[in-house]
Amino acid sequence: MHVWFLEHTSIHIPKYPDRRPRFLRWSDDIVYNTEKTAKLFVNLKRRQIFVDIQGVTPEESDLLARMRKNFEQIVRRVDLIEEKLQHCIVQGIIKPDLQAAPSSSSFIPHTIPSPNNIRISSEHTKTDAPEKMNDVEMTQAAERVSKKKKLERKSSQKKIKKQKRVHHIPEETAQEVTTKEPPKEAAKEEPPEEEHGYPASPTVNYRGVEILSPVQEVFLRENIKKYLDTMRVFSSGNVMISRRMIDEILSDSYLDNDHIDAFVILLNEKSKISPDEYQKYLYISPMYWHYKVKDVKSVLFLEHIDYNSIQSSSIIINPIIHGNHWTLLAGYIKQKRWKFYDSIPNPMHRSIAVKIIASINKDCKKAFRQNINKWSFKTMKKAPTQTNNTDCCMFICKYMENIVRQNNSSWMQRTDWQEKMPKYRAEFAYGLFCAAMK
Amino acid sequence: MASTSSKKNKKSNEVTILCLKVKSQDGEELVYRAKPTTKLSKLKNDYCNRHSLPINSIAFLFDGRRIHDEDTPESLKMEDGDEIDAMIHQTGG
Repeated sequence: MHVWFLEHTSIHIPKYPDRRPRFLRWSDDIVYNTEKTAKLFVNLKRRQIFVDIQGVTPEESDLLARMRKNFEQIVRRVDLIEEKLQHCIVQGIIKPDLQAAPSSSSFIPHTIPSPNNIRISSEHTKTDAPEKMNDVEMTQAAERVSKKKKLERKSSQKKIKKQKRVHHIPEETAQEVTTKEPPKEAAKEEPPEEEHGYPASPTVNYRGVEILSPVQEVFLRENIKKYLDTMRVFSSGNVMISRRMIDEILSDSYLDNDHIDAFVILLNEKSKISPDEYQKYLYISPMYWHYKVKDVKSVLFLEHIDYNSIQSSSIIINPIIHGNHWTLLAGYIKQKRWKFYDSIPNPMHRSIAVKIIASINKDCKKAFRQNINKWSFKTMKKAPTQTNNTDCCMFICKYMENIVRQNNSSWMQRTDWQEKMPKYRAEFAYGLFCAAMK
Repeated sequence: MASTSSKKNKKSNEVTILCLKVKSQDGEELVYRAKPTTKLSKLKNDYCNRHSLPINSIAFLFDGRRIHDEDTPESLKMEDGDEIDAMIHQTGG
């Protein structure tokens, strides 16, 4: 099966097109580069959605059936965002066989003649496109003919580039989505391993998942199905996220230090993609203090802190885990001020922060060239707070994200965080799966 | 193979067997004898079973760095008698 997501499903323009791979591909290790794939989209027009199904296994066709249902929603969403655009055309290219029962065994990848066997059919309607799309059926012969025609029509590379631009959709949406995604490559999927132990459920029932956009939801569910019990989803340096940890995110559970670190890795990616939107910050892992207390080598966590990095950054963030509660220590270098964020305001949580500052001061004396113990220390009282017992890790993550954002002072007044937590959690899981595809 | 022995300083006659000390956060030590090519995930699973911990609820650290499932003593250039730290994940909410 080939599901092409244009920039992860065609809904937005990439902010920095040259930095981001443009196409994603599932379930195969063939990497299509931009040039090759561009050819497939020569005749696409603005705001068309393109799906190409060549050979589908039963499970995959199941997914695609759901994808198709989602088309309608996707289109609606697009319309909502971009009402002003006039030519709202949706092009669905769906193999008739898809409508057959998923169990039919006749549907095996080896029937695919070549990767170029694209089935194209089109409906040029305005806003009611999705309904008509469902009726699209074409015979094999007809499709081949149309395919040939398409091939003939292909012209120079220049045109291709233009075309690609054209069928993307405006900036507002782009920002909304790009900020959530680190750049990705056409992915190479690991085959599922047979692991010992009981398998995790291949589905997830979490209210946050349903709040996501349809595309994100399908993507997330599909990934959840793909990774089994203890399989590694994402890893980077000391951080490793396994499938079971994703379940923790999607079940209102406590989150652990790996989650926080992974969140910061994602945040890092985002700030690399759009450096203008984020302030320069330094991150100290919560494990710095933890290892230190346990007398394990903890220098690793301070390696990136030296005189130059401090001079070029404006914020230091350090989540703290103490007594099963997460809090956040943020140091503003220019103002020489520490701010302490706590989602369950309690003066008792604060004491540990002072110790950590002292410890950092000792370990990074050369880097700071000043006594950071003497910076003013303030507990932030007006930050959004949690009303339940489990979301503090997610709160800390969101604090971090908002603190490092440029020109973003209004977040402190927000009161809807608790309601939005399920969504944030789902977005976090989604982000991890995106990162995993890299 | 991750056959275990609680005795310290137990030296193996064969060159190919390493003694690896796994140290928990409260200072408790457990010595594993492992071939250089044994996956360290095996040790971890055994360690978790012994301490009745869910798999992946601890991280093995070698020299402050996390040991991944596919790592072997060989790939990490471990030597006989090296120490591994077992850290339990810190959760909070």
